[in-house]
Amino acid sequence: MSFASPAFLWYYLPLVLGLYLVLPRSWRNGLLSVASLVFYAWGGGAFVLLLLACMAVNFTAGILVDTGRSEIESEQEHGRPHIASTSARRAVLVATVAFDLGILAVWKYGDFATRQLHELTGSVQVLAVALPIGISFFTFHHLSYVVDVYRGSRRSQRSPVQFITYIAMFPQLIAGPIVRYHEIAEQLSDTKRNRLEDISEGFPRFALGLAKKVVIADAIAPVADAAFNGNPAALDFRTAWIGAIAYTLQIYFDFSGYSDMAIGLGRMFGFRLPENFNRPYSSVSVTDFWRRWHMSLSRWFRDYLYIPLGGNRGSTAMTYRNLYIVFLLTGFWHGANWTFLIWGLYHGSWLAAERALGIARADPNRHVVLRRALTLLIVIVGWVFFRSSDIGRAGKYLATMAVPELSSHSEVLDGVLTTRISLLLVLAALVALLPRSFVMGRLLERASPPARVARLAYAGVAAPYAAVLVAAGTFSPFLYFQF
Amino acid sequence: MTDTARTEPMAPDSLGAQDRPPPRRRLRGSPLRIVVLVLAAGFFCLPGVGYLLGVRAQQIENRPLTTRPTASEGWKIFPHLNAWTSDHLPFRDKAVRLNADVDQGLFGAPPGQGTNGRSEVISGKDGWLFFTQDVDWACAPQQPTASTLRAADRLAKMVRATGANYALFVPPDKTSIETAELPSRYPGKACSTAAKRDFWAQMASNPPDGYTDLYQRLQQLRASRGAPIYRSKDSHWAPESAGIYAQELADAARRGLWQPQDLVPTGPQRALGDLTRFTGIPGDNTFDGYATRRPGVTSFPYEPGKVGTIGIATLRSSSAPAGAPLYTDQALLLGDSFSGISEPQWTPYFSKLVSVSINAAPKDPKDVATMILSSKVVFVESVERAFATGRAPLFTDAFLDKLQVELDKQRAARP
Repeated sequence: MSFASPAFLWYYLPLVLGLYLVLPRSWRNGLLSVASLVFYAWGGGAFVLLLLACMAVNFTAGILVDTGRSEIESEQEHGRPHIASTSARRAVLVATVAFDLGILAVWKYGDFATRQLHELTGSVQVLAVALPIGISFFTFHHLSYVVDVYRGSRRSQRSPVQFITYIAMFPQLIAGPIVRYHEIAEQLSDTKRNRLEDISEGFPRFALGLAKKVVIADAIAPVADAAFNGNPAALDFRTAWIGAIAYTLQIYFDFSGYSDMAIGLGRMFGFRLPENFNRPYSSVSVTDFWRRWHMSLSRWFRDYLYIPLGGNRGSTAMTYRNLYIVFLLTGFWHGANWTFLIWGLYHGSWLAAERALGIARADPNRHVVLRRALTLLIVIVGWVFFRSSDIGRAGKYLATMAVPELSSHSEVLDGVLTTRISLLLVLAALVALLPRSFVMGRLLERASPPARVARLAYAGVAAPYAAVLVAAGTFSPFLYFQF
Repeated sequence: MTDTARTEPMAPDSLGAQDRPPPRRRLRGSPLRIVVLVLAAGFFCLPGVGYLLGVRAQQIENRPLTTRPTASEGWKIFPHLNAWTSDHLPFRDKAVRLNADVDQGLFGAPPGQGTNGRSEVISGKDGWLFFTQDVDWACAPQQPTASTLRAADRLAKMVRATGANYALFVPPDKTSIETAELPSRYPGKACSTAAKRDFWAQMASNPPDGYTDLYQRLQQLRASRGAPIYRSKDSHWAPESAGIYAQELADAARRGLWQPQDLVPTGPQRALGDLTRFTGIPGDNTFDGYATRRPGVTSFPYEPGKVGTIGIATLRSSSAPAGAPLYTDQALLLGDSFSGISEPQWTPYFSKLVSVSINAAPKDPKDVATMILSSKVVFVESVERAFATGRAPLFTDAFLDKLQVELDKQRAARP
């Protein structure tokens, strides 16, 4: 179920919020657990059983690998099972991580991997399995949980309800942000909250995200779709650039809008979810970009992969190896396609180059305009790999972008680039070009007069307009019904 | 986590200010908090409050509202719930209208641009609307025209083998006839224009068995009239063009049944344009009316019914003793909305004609076989965009294989 759908906005969410307000505060996690499983089943159907099975395995594993600060006393006191041996705990951890990654490998990458083998050998049967929604997110939550508990940074959950709340909490279940367990563990038990205050603080942020997605991203999407889905031979220089810029803006407003909605929804239920975007298109280097884009994923990879691999503590070669591994997997995490892998390697290469040239540590306030422009150019080129259906099409697309041929005129965008969409494209581009310090999501958290105006504007104007668009977007007449 | 303190992050400072929750603001009891809460309540609860006050969803599309899901659907209940919750949302009609007004009034957008910018209609000159699917499908055929033509020949052979006559009609898309009203630029213009030109050239040089060329007839009519022969805001042809189709149907049943004086002008006519539904602001269009008037012939309203699982419409006419002749054997018409909209023009030629949706028929080859075996003439009509691009499911080997089996079985079972 999408947040930007009538089912969610005017049936599911009012019901859940209503119950949240009338039930005792201590029931919050129970309500959220049940509501989140319904939310997942609504979008994923029978895959909710897979989610439940994964949760059961990881919940049990968490108990088994828990060291605790006063382990023996605690376990004796509560009668909980425990494993005193470090090697046994490590074995459970390895088995659980293997289980989680195995689930991800089969359901997300099985089709892709067997397809490659089939094309190579002609004999391997393609494993055609449907992709469970949100599998990348809930798998990373499970991994975060079991590793954090193993490391002893947080105790394992005793309450299955709190565990389900962490893993399946519907605001972040299918599109993030990725919440590391140690970021939220304390909040899970904090149910004595002023619920009306939480809702009044969360709603403007939710409205901001809804408007970003529905008013801007969804409107721009057809421009990118027309440019990337059509015949590459029909593209010209101008159209290719407009399409690439449109996709650059669309993916930001769509993804960050979804994150804003998630953060706002989390706030409405009394949780502070981590920020996921920080004006990434104002970055002055690719290194800077990855501090600002999908920050929760970067932090996850840093904590659970980069640092365990050795980070930058080893030799220079090891550091670059670790960077490449992280970015290769970052690319692959986004989808089972060579295009994502190339996109990851492309960014990893820029990070490595910036590290080698010392750009990553350069003063961010020097040559800001030039560095922002260059970084944005690198990012836009990267999105071409990300958005293209295959490497060949990406290559043709980039070749068209590379050769300035202004005399030809493609018809690909005719009828698509309307006045409204052109205006929104310009508006979105202007927002992307605002000063680096201007972050709307964080502005909404403040108590300043501009923040008050922004909160009212989003809650009172943007949200109703987005609502009209969501409701009108369901309009689907059928030409042939009469017959 | 102890590693973090000793190790430089891969993107330095990534665990910076963004990781820390911002300081709490004091909001308790503030007027702003109350205003935001009221706005939130209004946002989430307006449809529900409307429902409690008696506001009910309106049927604003040309299809019934989705029926209520039931638990017996299993996991499929959720997609069904999505459709049901959308259709039954109070004030949805107001939102569609408001969005269309904002789009067209504020942004001057072409009608039917929709919320996501994807237009179902192409806005032509002087308010003309065209169906985007004409162009999209022409640019993305599902099977080569040659395969469709082979399938059409095969179907003709199968029908003729039952002893029935057979005729095939392909109404041209509006974008193929009313080209003067198309905008100078629109997405897919080049590829669709080329695809359509190739298709009609193939149909002229290598026509399938039983094919009647409406394209040439309509081109001639368009040239002779010097005015449009399709409806300006509808995907279909105007009544005079429907009269040409009726003439070809009647003549295919029995040559000489149609007489030039049968089709008479009736003056300007207004009707809802189906393409305006995509704009969110349904509206009428005006066109020249024509009616089929045959001496002594009375046509009756269609009778809905079923053959097996397939819904049918039976159309009947009767003729006075000295009236115009009718085709008296049972006729079967497998057609789409072009046949449907032309029904007043062709019904007066048939004493009994069973009409079936060409899109519904392939779901049950057994019942199609039954109907073919009960008929003396079988008409098949499929609009260009479906036929030319391989999207008419009747013209696929998969369906024809099943139909052949059913025809053989039922013929063998007959005394």
